[in-house]
Amino acid sequence: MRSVIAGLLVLAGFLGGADTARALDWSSFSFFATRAQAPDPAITTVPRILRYGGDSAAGAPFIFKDPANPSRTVGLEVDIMAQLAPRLGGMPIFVQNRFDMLIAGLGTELYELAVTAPAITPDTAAPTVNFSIPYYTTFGQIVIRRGDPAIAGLKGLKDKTVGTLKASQIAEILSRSPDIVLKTYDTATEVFADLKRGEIDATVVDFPIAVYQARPDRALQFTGDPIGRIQYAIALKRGTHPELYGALNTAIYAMSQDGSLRRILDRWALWTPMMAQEVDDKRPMQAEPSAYEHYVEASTPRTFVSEVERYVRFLPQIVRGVIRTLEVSLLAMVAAMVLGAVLAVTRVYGGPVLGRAARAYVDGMRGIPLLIVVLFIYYGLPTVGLQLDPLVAGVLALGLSYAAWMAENIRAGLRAIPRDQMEAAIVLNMTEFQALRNVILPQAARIVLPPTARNFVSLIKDSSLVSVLPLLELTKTYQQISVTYSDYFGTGLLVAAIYLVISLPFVRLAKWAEIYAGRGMSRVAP
Amino acid sequence: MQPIVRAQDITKAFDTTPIVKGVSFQIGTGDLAAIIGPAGCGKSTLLRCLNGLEPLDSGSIEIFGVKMAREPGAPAPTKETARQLRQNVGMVLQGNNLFPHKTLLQNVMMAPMVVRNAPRDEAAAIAERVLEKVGLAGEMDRYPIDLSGGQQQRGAIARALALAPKVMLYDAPTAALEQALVDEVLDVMKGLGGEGLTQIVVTDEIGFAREACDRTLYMEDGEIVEVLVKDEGAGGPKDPRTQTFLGRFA
Repeated sequence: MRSVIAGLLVLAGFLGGADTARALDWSSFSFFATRAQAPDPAITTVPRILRYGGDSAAGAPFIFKDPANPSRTVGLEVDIMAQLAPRLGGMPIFVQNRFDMLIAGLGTELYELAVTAPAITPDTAAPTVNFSIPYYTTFGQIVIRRGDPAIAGLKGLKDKTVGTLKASQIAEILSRSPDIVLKTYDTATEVFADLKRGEIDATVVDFPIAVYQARPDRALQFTGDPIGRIQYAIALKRGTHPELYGALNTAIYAMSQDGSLRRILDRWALWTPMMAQEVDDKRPMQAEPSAYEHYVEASTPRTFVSEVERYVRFLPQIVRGVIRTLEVSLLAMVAAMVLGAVLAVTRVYGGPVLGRAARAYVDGMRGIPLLIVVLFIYYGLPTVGLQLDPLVAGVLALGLSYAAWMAENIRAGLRAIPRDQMEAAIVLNMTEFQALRNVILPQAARIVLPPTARNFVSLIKDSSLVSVLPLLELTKTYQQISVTYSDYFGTGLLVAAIYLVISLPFVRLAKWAEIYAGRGMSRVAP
Repeated sequence: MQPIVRAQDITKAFDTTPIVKGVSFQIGTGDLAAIIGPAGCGKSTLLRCLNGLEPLDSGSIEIFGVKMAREPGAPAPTKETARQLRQNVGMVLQGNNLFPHKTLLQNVMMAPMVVRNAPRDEAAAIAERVLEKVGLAGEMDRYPIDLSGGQQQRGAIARALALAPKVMLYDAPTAALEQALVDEVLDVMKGLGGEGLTQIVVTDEIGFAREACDRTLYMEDGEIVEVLVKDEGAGGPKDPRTQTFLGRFA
């Protein structure tokens, strides 16, 4: 991996000028110093608003919701971007995206830069992105249950089941030792939960993750020597903003030299011996570890009252998530209804060719998992030049998928209407379209409404699959909050209850539809 | 006779089975005409051809000056031609086919509003007038399912009348009714005849045909065997086939 980064850095040097390429030779630890002679790139063409993608569900310390005030997004990377962006002449804007989609998000130009370091490895990204020079060098920390026998280092992990984060640099290092049984996870919260459950013997995670998510936990302890050598860099899409690439490297270098990077790392209690060596800074601590202390203070379990206060505090976030979920679901319902009606009418009245096409769509779409549709529309279609807003993509995916189900409902409704209803309308000299609109569809609608309302209930539930898009709906909000507080239980119950409440009106609609919309369909008492 | 309906050499086949085999007749303005004959003789199909509901294979139909013709093997008349023809022709189909999701009043109002773009109150006024004519003024706000069979048929007549047709076609309007309800439907038709409306009814009510109809077309095997004209004094059917058929009802 190191060689890949080195390769990228050589490329960086190539962009910056021939003299710097030599200076960026990885064998020299003093590359930061030499890089200072690089000419200042023209920063005028760098975007005014510098969007950076990260995953706040990945947890502390990188980018996360401040436990003391969940409406604030904080973290090491937020602080670094806050320093870095002005040096590039832009204003930093954080864009939320799922950690395993961060690189894909660069491709769709959802943002210019991608952070959330443990998730970004050159291996996953190689062909489409460039990496900046590293801004942080750290190592893998072994964490075990408190009281378990100490493990010396990589060799001590032999024949043990070891958990770590999926697609991380650590995972790659560990996978090179064939004696280690490796288990990978989406989030650090899950890694430590499994460690405490005894599912795994030990975990190795990036030192910053260990500091924030294991050290404060009484049930866990650090052990052994540092493992490996991990570097964090910032990714950007290859080919766009070539001037940004040079400016980014220059700015990172300048921050490492003027002490501002050191102060940020000290505030987060993340300074490492490797960093000291890397930037040749042997000074003692330059800032109070205030950010670390704030995090530990705010996230440790407290009294019942403060627990309740905590739930109240993240209510605004939940409300925003609910609004998003409703927005996606309702728009998708409209799309599914309209398209479903068109498909059904085409199947019943559209003639053999169109009818068969509609049938092929319905049968095909019902066989494709919704998640595939969601991912394909948002991350797949840009390949053929169609790049959609996440909201539009989510609505479209749900709408297209549910249209197939709606079409079958509506078709059943249409076929339940006797043929002579159409004839009765025709002899009244209506056109076929007028007959459909005034006679056939209104009757079909009454038959179709109850199963449709039930379909809507499942659509609302399935809208949670849209959380794989950079869209902060209710499920995504749940993941974020749970990670922030390491609490999947209470928030889980809360969010489940909210989904239930949202779908209640449609359950009621189904009941209402069966009674009132059935007027004229059954005899009333005289 | 002042003909309002002229049918000339009408043929109609389903697949390769000929159902109507070259039928010609005329109906005079204000006449009440019956088409009778054994089951499967093609009388319903003939009636459905008259307003273009079934496209005829060949022949010509002219109703109130609008003509629809087809040479053998030529393409079917356009939907537009059929719609022009139907502007003057109302029809009550076999069975009960009021729109079940609408009240009786709404059923009758629909066609004027949809087809003629009549404003709602105008359509309501028309609907109330024709419903009164068929004796359903008290049932206007009920749904079809809550009406008796006879009321439903009268409702269907009112629905067709709302477009003020010059000619009314009825396809076995009393076929599905119990005997007690038949008369209330036939009485409505007699009443409309008294107002000068031209009506053609396919029926099995031989007594009604004999007593109330100005002319009765007897059909057998896709052809008109004989036209019986009321009050012509010629004294009953001449063709032995007609005699045999009518003999069964004597």
